[in-house]
Amino acid sequence: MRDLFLKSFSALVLFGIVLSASQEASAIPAFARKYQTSCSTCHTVYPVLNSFGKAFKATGYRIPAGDDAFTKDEPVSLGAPAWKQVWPDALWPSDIPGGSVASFWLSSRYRVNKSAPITNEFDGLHEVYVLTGGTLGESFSFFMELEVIDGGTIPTAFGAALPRAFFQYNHPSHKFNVTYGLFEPRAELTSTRLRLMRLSDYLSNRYGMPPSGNSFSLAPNQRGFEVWGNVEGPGNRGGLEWFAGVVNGRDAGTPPGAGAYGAAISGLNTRLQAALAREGRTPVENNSNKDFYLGANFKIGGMGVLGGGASETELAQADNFVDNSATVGAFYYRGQAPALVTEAEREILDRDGNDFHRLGFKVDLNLHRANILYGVQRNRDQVRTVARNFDQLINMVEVRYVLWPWLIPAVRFENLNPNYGVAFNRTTLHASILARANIRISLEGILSRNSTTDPIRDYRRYDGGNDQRFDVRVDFAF
Amino acid sequence: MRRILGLLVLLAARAAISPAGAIPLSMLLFFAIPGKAQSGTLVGKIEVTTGKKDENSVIYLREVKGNYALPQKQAVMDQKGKAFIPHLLPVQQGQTVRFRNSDTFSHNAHVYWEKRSMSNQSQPPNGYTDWTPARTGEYLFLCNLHLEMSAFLLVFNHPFFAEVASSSEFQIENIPEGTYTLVAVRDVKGNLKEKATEVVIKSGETTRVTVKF
Repeated sequence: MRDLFLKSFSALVLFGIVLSASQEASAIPAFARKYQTSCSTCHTVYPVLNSFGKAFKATGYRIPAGDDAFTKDEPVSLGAPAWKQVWPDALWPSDIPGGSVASFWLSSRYRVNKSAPITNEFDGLHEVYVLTGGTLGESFSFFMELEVIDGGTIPTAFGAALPRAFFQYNHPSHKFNVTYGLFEPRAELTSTRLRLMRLSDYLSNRYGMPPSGNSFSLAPNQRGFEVWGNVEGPGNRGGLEWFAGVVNGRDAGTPPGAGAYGAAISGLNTRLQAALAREGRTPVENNSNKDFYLGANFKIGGMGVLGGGASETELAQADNFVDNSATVGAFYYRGQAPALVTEAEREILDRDGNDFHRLGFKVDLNLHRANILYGVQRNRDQVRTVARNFDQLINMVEVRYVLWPWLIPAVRFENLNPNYGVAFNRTTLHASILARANIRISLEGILSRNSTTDPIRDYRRYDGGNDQRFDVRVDFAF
Repeated sequence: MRRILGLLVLLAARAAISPAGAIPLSMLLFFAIPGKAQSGTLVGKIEVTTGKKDENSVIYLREVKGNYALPQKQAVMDQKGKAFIPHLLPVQQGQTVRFRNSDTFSHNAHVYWEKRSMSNQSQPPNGYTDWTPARTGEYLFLCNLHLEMSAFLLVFNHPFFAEVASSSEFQIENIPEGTYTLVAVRDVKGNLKEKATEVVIKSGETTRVTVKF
């Protein structure tokens, strides 16, 4: 497997050198269209955000130095700004995006899996997303992501077909904002949607608690609202991001989508569904008991969290992946979920039986061309009926390096150590080659070590059913 | 003071002499009008980094005392391409503003002063209406038919101001020597913002200044 990986990696690098030496790309998604700028203005390798991209997101999808001077795509005016002076005798003015706000992201994979019945296959068009986002006047913004094809099939569940759709209020100071709708919460070590390694998601974001019957995961989305804000640091460097949210909490029924994690914990969900059927109940959604979370990230050095230090006259499109800085962050998430408990040799569902929390801490270092992320997360499920806590301690280190702007290798190491079973490791190797700013070829391989075939302890079942996988993936966006 | 006394003496002398007297009128005018020797010129540039770069700015001198004749040139606020042109129009108190419609459809100039409606006139295609502001200060122009249109009128009690296209040079002449506050004004998100700086005008000299906005 490793030899195959190395040979393929070398071939891919050579292929990438040929492609990247050609003309620059001209295709651009919605934000790039609005400002007539390249993807590389905000992304190191999309969707991974560089510091400027994070500041752009923190200001409600606006150029931190001032949107007006950089907007090339004239918005449709819903009243000149001066109408504010006449309020309340007139409507408060606003605007909507002028041009097309739709962007498309397509990906295709060649999969190699020696343990699967089909050891290698081309999956055609694996994922098709329609992304849209923008601003509505000075104070509001929006973002929506529509999955047209996910995992090779057309998703039917709402949360799968529309993984993100939210509306935001942005205070002019950027110290207070509100996000409402369906969104990925900030209570994570790092974002699932914005991750570099697409084959494997973060265990800290997606792994459930099998023995308690809790399929809860922080990602990919939550329904509710989140308040958040940013305060720039002294000298317009670094700064603080704070956040808090109240959400439904993810349901304990069949997870949306047919991706790896849906299949990965299907054994757990089969048991959940069987327990529900015995009780004559429909899938459970704990909407009456809301989950809440809070946290903060503090950045030391580097570009200000609201873009301090960035040019106020031009958008940098190259050499903007260096931002020497350190970010420390922490979050706490608390929720309630059903618990799958055994009584009289049968599994039953205790609707409110599980009080759980997730506590995370991270250090994110940018050192010249390297990024090093270390995170530790403690997951605890407190199942009342059995008076027992199920714990997991997850350690993660992810390192990526910009070898050249078009070649970014990375590696992630994760260790999950439960108090109810055997610990396991997962190592993910990755290399991204940007043939163009919007065309990415990536090579990724997952290695994990497992020791038993117990349905609970066979962690391979929670990882797509295999312990070693290898993908070549092509992504392009426009 | 000495010039004024001299003028009075000459006027008296002229009155005493025949109408075709030897004292030319130009000499009298020399004493009556402060010439270049008592005034200076201000030139400069506004470097724009905020607001819409295609919108103009206005610069003016704050609190200039004196009585000054009205400019001869008509003050015009044009309406063309569903926009007021210029976006900021400076005029002197007493000047009449002509709202001209250069579009092929109707417009309406609704004038506000401190949230109060002062005038609301429609202009047919290729037509115009006139309006004279009653007081100094800032007026807002909006169009009830095209909400995306807006402009501002700045009325001063002196002629020492200039309309400045984005990142362009400006020049104001015949400024009495002295120390003044120069103010640059721009529309930033629907409100007028000012940047002030001190300038010193010296007789017969040109003072140069750059304002970053």
